[in-house]
Amino acid sequence: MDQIALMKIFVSESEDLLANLEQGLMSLEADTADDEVIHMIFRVAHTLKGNAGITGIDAIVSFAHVMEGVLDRVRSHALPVSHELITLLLNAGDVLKEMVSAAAAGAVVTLTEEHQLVLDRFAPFAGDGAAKAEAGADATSPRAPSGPSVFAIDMRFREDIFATGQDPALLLQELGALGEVLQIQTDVSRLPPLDQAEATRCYLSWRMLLSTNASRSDLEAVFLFVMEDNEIRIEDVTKSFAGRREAQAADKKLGELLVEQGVVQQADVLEVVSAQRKVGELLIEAGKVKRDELNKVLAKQEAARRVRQNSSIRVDTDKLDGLVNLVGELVICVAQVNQNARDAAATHEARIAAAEVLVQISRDLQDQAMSLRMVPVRETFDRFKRAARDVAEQLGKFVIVEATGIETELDKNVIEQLADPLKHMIRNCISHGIESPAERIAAGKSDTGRVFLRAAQREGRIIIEVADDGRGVDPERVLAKARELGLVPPGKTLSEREIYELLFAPGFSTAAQVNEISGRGVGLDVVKRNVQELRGTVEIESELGKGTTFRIRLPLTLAIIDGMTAKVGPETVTIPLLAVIELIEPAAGVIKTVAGKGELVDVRGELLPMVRLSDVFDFPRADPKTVESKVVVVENQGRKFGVMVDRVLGMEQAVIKPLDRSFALFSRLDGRYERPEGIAGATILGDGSIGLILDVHGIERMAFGGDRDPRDTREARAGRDARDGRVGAAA
Amino acid sequence: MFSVDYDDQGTIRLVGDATVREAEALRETLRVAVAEKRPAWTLDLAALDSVDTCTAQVLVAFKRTVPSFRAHSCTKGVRDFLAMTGLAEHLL
Repeated sequence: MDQIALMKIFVSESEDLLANLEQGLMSLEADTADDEVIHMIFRVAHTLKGNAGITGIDAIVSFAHVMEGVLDRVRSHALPVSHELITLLLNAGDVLKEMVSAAAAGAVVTLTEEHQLVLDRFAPFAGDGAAKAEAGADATSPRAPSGPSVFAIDMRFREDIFATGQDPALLLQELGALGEVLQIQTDVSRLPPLDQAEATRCYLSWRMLLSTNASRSDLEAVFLFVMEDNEIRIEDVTKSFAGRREAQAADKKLGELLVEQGVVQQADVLEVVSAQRKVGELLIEAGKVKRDELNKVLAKQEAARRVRQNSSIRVDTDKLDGLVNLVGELVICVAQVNQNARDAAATHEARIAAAEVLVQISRDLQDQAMSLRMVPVRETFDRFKRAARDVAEQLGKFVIVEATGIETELDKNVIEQLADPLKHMIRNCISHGIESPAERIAAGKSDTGRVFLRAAQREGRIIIEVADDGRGVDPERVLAKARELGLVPPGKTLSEREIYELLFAPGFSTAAQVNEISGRGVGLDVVKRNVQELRGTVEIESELGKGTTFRIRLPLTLAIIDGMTAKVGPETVTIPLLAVIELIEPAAGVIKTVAGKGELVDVRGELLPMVRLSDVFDFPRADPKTVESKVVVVENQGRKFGVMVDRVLGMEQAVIKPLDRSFALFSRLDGRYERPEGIAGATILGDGSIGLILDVHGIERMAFGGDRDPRDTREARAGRDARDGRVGAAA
Repeated sequence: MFSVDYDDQGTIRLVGDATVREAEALRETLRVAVAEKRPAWTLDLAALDSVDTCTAQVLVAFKRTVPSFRAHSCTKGVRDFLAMTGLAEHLL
C-alpha cells in the first residue's frame, strides 16, 4: 500500500476515533462513573497512538501517549473524572484533530508550543512519576542574564496547613505581587469525595508559572515559614520558556511579527502581499526553473492537498447488497428488452411490459444510489454539542443541548454545507437567546438553558430546527432597530413574520454588546444565503420569554428534484413539486386584474396574486392556438401565488445540472455569468433539450418585489379590494 | 457571620464570610443535602462576601461529588479569589 493510501485510511479512521472521543467525553460528563465509556475513550487514545505509529507520525504518537497514560489512571480508578479533566481531554482532542488535518494536508506534523502547553496541563493528572520527571529538569538552570525570569513554582502543603492558621492563598497572592502570573494550575486530584474529605485538611497542590524580576532567593523568602514542612520547588524555566516563545515566533510570518510589534499596520502588509509575485513566477523569470518542471511540482502539491479534500463516506453493506441485486435485475431486464426489440414476433404489449419493468428498476436503482450518499445527522449534532458547551463556558452560561431525530438521514453534501449555518444558529441561541443564570432565575426558569437540535423527515423534506428556551425575540425591539438602521421606512407596518425576517438582513443586530461570539450582525444573512443555496428555506418563530426556533426546510437531495414540467413559450420549465399546491384550469372570470396590483387568480373564493412566467422571464409568446393556459398554485414560505404557464407536460424527476455549465443558456436570458433570479438550475430533458428548473422564491421576488405578508394576500386583501371596487374584468 | 441553607429546588445559598472555622459545618450541610437528592444542585454565591482556600476546597469536593452541579451568581471578590488560587475552573 502506498503512503497516500495509508494516509487516507489513517485520516478517515482518526476522524472517526476523534468524533467518538468527543462524544464519549460529553457522555462521561453526564455520568462520570460509566466504566464502559471510560474504556472506550481509553481505547480511542490507544488506537490512535498505534495508527499514528504505523503511519510514522511521531508527534501524534507522543501526544496520544500522554493522553493514554492519564486515561489509564482513570480506567484503573486512580484518577477521578472531573470537569477540568474532561475540558482538558476535549482540548487535547482538538489538538489531535489539528494534527490529523495537518497530516492529511501533507504537512510535517510537529509538536508546537500550543500543543506542548496542552500537554503540560496533563502533568497534575499524570501521577507522581510524570510529575517528578517534569519537575527538576531545570532545577539548576542558570538565571537569565537580563530581563524578567520565568519560574515554575510547585507547592504541595502539609495536610494540616489550614489548622495552623495559614492559607496557601496568601502565599499565592504574595508571589503574584512579585511579577506576572503566567499560569496557575491547581491539582485537585487528591481531593476525596465530600463524605470522605476532612473539611480542614488540605488536599490541593499548585503549580505557578511566574514571570518576575525577583531572584530565586526573593521567592524562597515568601516561603520562609513554610519551606521546611512543605514540598516547595522553585525552578527557573526562563530558558525553556523563552525557547518556546522563540519557536512560536519562528512559526510566524514576518508580517505578523511586524504588526504584533506595532512596526507596521495590518493594511500595509496586506497591500504589499497583494502586490507580491509568486515564487514560481520569479524563478521562471530568473531562468532557474522551467515552467513544465514547476507545473509538475505544483501538480504534486495539489495531489497532496487533495488527500485532505477527497472526503470519503461509510456505506452500510445492506445498501451495497441492495444495489448489487438491482444491477443483477437490470442485466436480466436489459436482456429481455433487447430480445423483444430483435424478436419480430414479440407483441407490443410484451415490449411495453418489459420497458415498464426497466423504468421501475431504474427508479429503484436511482433511489438506492442516492441513499448511498445519505448519512445520519447524529455525528453533526454531536459535534455541535461540544461547540455549544465551549460557547456557553465562554459566556458564563449553563446550557444543555438536547438532540432528537439524530438518525434522520441527509445527503452528505447537504450536511457539510449546513454545518456552518447550524453552528452559527447555535451560537446565536446561546449568545442572544439563553439568558445569564441570574436572569433565568429571576425569570422563574432553571439557571440552565436548553438548546434543542431536532431533525425529521416530513412531507418529502428534511426539517431541521435549532431552538432555545431563552428570552425570545422582542418584535418591537427588532422593528425599532430596523427603523433606526433605515431598513423599514417610518410608518410602514410589518407582520410578526416580516419582522423576524429582518433578523436575516445583512448587518442587522439588536445585541447591546458585541462579543467574539456574536452581536456584530454578521452571520444570519449568511445563514439564510447558505440555506437558500441548498434550495432550502429558513424561518424564525419566537415567543417572548419562552424561546426562539430557527426552522430550516431542505430537499432530501441536491441532485434530483421531483417537478412539474410545463411549456412557456419555446422554453420547457420544471417547477419543484414541493412548492406546488395545485393545478387549476382557469375558467372565464377566474383571472382578474386589480388597478396597479397586477393580476389575481380566484381559487375557490381565495384571491391569489398571479404572475405570467412569459412576462417574468421575457420569453417569446407562444402561438395562442397551441396555448392551453394553466395556473400552477405554488407556495413560498407560507405565501401562495399563481404561476401561469402555456401548457403542462406532466410530472418528472429532473436531474439538476450545475448552472455554470449552462452558461450559454443563461447568458441568453440576462447576459451575465451568474445565476439569474428565479432559476434554480437546468436539466437535460428526455428529448435531449435543456429545461429550466424554477426557483419559486426568486420568482416571487421578481414578480412582487420582495417578501409579502401572507395575510395581505388572501381573503383580507381580496375582500378589501372588492370593497374598494378595485377588482376589474378578466384579463 | 456565615450561613448556609438549601431549598427543595436544590439551590444552596451561602451568605457572609466563609472561613476555615465554618468549613466543617459547611461540609456537613452539603453532605446532608447531597443525601436528600435533587435533580440538580445550584450553588448560589451571590451573597457570599468572602471565601478562603479551605472552604473553597469543600465546595470543589461537593462539586466533584454531585454530577449535576451548577454554580452561579458569584460576587467579584469571590470570583477574583477563585481565579487567583486557580480554583475558578474547578468550581465555576
